[in-house]
Amino acid sequence: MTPPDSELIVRVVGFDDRAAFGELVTRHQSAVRNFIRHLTGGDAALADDLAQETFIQAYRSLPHFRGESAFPTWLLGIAHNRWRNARRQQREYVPLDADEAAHATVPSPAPAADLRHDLANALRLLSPDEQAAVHLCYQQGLSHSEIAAVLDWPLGTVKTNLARGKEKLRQLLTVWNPLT
Amino acid sequence: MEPTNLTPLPSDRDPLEAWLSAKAPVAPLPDAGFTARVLAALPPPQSSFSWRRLLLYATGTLSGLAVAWWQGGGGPDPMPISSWWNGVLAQIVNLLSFLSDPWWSLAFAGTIVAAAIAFAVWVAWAPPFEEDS
Repeated sequence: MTPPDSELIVRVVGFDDRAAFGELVTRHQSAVRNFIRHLTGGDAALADDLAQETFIQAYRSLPHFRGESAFPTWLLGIAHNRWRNARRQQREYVPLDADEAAHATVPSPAPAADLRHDLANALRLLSPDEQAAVHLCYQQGLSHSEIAAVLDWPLGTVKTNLARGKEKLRQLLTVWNPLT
Repeated sequence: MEPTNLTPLPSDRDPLEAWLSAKAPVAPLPDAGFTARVLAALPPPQSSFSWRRLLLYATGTLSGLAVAWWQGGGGPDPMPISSWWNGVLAQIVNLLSFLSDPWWSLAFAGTIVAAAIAFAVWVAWAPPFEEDS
């Protein structure tokens, strides 16, 4: 029988059981790496470096984990902080304002075009905050309150970023939308 | 031109919501050695030795010996070490004289056992002190 996360956490904190920590990493590496890959715009190498830092910080902070949120939610919060720190150091991101986003060139649906491809391109044109909110909501399946915990935002900010992100996506994908 | 692969959507649902939901969930990433790299990068296990703990115990021991030395006739005047030691023993015997009473003796033994159990539990469960680094 597979032990629950809580049992593995007790073994890590109480006995420094590294095999138990390895099991936690194996279980949650995909969600964490996918989340950071999304934040870094698909840079797999950078995402894996940040994911590794995330798990090492989680190992150090595990004695302070109080279980107020689910363990995966707590991990994603650490991952977001690591990415935010890395972005602050790099200062490479140039935010795209709403007008630019509205006029950005998402390929129009040529016969060979694919909605999934255009949707992925459109998602990349959102601001990092909007991308993070949309990714956590739709790809990771988190609730609004869980997203607020991960990103350390007020609930209203989560809803605002989701609404703004979706509005930009609607504009970018107008040609695909039969209702507009 | 109408896209050829646009899935028909229920008219009462926002198409964007449906597209985003259809995109989920993300495909799980294979571990591909990631867990091994994380485990290799963890800080080394902390040894049970701690300078802070040693300092704590040494300070307590030296303080106790100093008090015993003072009470045993020491003080500002220097005294031979044998005399000082005799003074310490005398103080210990004096302190333990109450053990001649069997009830006090039993209570004292119980206290020692309880303290030993508490210490063992603390050693087994308490997180190690962080090394000063």
